[in-house]
Amino acid sequence: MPPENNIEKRLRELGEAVGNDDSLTRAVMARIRTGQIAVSDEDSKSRIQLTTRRFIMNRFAKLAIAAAVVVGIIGGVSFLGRFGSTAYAIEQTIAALHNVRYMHIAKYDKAGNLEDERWEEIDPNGYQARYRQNTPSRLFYVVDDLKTVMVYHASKDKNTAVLSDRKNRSYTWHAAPGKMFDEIAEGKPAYAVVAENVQYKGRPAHHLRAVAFDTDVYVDPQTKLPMAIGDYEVSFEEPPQGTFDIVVPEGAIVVDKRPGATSGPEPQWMVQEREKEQAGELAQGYFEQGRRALGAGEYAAAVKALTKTVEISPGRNWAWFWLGVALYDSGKYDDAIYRLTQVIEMISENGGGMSIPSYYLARAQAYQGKGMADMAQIDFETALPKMIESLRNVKAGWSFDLADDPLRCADGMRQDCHGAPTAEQSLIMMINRLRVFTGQNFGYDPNGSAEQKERAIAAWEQWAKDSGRMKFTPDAKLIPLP
Amino acid sequence: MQSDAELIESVLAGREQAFELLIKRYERSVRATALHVVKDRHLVFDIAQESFLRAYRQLGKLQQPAAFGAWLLQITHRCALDTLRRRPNETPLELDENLGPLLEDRDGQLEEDKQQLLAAVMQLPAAERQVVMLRYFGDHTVKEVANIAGRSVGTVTKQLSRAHRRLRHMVEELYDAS
Repeated sequence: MPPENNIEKRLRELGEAVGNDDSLTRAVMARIRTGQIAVSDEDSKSRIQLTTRRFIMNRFAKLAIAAAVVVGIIGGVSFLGRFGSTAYAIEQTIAALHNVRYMHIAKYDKAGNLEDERWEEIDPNGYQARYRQNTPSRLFYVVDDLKTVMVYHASKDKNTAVLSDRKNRSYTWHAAPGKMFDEIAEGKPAYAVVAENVQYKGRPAHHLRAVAFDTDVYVDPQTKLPMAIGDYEVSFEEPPQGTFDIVVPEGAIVVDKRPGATSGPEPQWMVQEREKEQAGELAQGYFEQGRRALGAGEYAAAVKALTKTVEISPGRNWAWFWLGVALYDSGKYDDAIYRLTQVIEMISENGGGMSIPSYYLARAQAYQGKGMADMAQIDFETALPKMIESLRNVKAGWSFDLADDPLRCADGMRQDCHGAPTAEQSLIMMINRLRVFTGQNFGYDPNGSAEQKERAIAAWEQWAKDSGRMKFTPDAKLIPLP
Repeated sequence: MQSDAELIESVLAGREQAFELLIKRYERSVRATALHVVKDRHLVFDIAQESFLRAYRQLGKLQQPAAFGAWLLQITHRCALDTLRRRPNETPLELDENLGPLLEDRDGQLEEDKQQLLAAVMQLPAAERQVVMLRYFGDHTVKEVANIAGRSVGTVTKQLSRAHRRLRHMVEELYDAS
């Protein structure tokens, strides 16, 4: 039976269920009356500082800041070892990883049950060769023996092994497990050393932070190899005999998709999944159509196509986002705010995401368009820390670049699109973005000396600490992209 | 009934008791906003307290006092997210998964249909959300809502009607999806 449709009655009942009592008023007013809290014009500044203080209070605080300072100073590779103050350097981990043949990763739930496990054989160039995945939490298993990939769907209602030519289907946890940290050697500030000689689950470890991906990494002080990456435990032993052998489980339905193979009809669940996949492809078609229309300035067409996308596939956050942008560009600020709020809520309810600061920035602009400067300021302040961080670590700003560019080859788009900006372009785009949103100009010159560039970046950082006020300036002077 | 803007003016002029009226006016809306994010009633009081205090501290910065309500709820949303981030090893997803036992709590986690309706309210544009909350959570008449928010009765009526339409649509979507 559908829920009662009397919205007004249901809203009143909801209000009553939420409830209220005098104790909140008393508690707040007591703190105000005793002078513990005062109205201040300077609060924006103190709030930004508060964020920093929270960071300082973090248990890794001092060392994390030291690492961040190092990242800042050298503007590239973050090796504490280079400064001679520590014995460990990430280069040791890179070198150690180059010599491993196998990688074993495993993730456990809170009760200690295996959720997900992967074995990867690593070829001499550092790339994945043979592969096995056991994911009991989803009853999903994969073996890749370099010729054939077998995917076994183990649930009772499926019990199906699908055999495919490796050229047509592949699975990885990390496609180049032996080269995972190599980007550091290319001068990208991908990792920072947070602390040496800490304890990780009762074992000695060095703690690293994958800056761009917001992930903790723990390294074995003896072998220098990672022992944990995010939620995964990592080890490098040789797998048990037969790990990479393809053995069809007894009694399983076999669907052989390899060239020249003969196979019976697909089970019903596969037919249904294919239909779902086709719906996904349809949504993808509308998604790309909408992005192209948005990129071409055809806003009505973009709104139409992106609306269809989210109707078919409501989980696509970027489709919601660009729908919001298309509505904003059409001058429909209310609807833009509504759609952008939906995507922010959607992402927040799922634990947040790396793209969320760019969504807040877009909504700040929509609020600005609507004349709601205070709301715009709050959203802007939410986005600002990541914007400022990306001046030192351009990777942190990738979602802003993507949000400004619906024609990027990303999220399944392969045609009529272009690649990501270079690190230098990305930095300049962020400075331009800051100029537009703040009306400030700290004189960054792409052809200037390293010192001049550093001064401009430091000036933005200082400004964020001191003011952080949004002042939308669409005619701000922009730096041409190299 | 004094508007939000008038009450804020009083607070800034040193009459702090005016802030008490703002707390009473928005208490349920603030609690609902916090509850929507953290899904845990036991955290709501602290978040609500922190939200009002943050708002009080920043009142002098508010450029458009008439937008106080929407602004306050935005602050609440952020306070609630901060609270979640500070809780180790817990994410909103996990809280959702653990909702079953909480629903049996005598203190009263919201029932599922109410949670869904609250989620729908939270997705409304800020201006519509504010009038919906004032009208139905604060039990104000349309005229009072208009006074409080510094908008015309016609605007509030339109916003309420648009919000009803959106909410009906969203609730139907949720029902279809389940």
